[in-house]
Amino acid sequence: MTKASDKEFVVLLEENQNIVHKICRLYTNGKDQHNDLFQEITIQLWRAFPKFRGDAKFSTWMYRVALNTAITLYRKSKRRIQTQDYDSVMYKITADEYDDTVEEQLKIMYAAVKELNDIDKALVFLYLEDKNYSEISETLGITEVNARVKMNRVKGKLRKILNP
Amino acid sequence: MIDELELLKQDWKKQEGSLPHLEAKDIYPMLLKKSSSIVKWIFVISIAEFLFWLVITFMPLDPETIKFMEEGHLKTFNTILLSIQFSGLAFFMVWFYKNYRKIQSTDSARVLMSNILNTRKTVKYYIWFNLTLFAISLIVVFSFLINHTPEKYADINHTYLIIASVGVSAVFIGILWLFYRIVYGILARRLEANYKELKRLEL
Repeated sequence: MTKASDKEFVVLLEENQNIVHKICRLYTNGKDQHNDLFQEITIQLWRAFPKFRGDAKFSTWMYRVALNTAITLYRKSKRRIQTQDYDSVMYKITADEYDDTVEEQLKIMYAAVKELNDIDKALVFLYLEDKNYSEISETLGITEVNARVKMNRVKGKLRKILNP
Repeated sequence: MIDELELLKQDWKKQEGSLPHLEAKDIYPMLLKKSSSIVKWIFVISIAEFLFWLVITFMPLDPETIKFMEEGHLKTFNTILLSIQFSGLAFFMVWFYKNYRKIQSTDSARVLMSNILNTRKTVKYYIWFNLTLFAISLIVVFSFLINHTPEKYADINHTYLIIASVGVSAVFIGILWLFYRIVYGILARRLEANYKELKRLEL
């Protein structure tokens, strides 16, 4: 690839890196794994970049490649698995703005989302990122109806965890 | 009651401030690193498997075996077997390469997973193709041995020969099956689980 496309890619990735970091947080435990997955996603994005034609937004295209890497291509290295409390990874939110109950609920929900299987996690992630069902179904390769049904089941699962 | 996920969604947006931030100078070196994706490993192992069978095919025979084959007119059989094996190798190599080329990270998760699993399946078929040929050749050679037992093996009971042929084939197939299970089990367990989950959604 040319130097110009190198630069273009790096600029786009730098601007949109939050998407990748959020996926890494969701799918990995600990800093080493986070960096590993970020690295792999970067490589996959870079490889696929020549096919990015600019007819879609870079970020939209990025969701697909990054999620595919997390749920399909990436192999977690066992030797690097660290048990880390989700508090330090996921839950760094400004909790002062909430009362204790909401804060507690959020904590439980973040922990519950982390425990979901890879596909459910992808669904929840896309939902939290404000993607509509048409985008969710296209990214995962399932029908829109099934995406809705599944999402409702996941909601039910989370609700049950919150209100046992 | 407030939708729990809506609550999470509101909070989710606030995490952006706590995310790590990489500069362009940190990203450039990443472009030069090598991928460690499962596709890469499946590709490397598959090529090793193709090479393994190629080496087995080209293993030099000792002069006594060649003499024995000539006496028993097994040379024609061997030539036919080699032709089938090489035609098979060419066919599977093309098929494997075509499947491998189809793997694109820009496809939907389901299509991507299905393409990876198909690539793996091609190699699996190739291994079974070779094992079948191997079994056929063992049967032919052993049945020849039973009918035209060379003098030095004349004392050996035919039943022994049959047991030996079945035993050798079983051990060989067993080892390969185990190898296959371990290697691809480690590589693709998670991928298979996710693919099943997506397929289950479509039922």
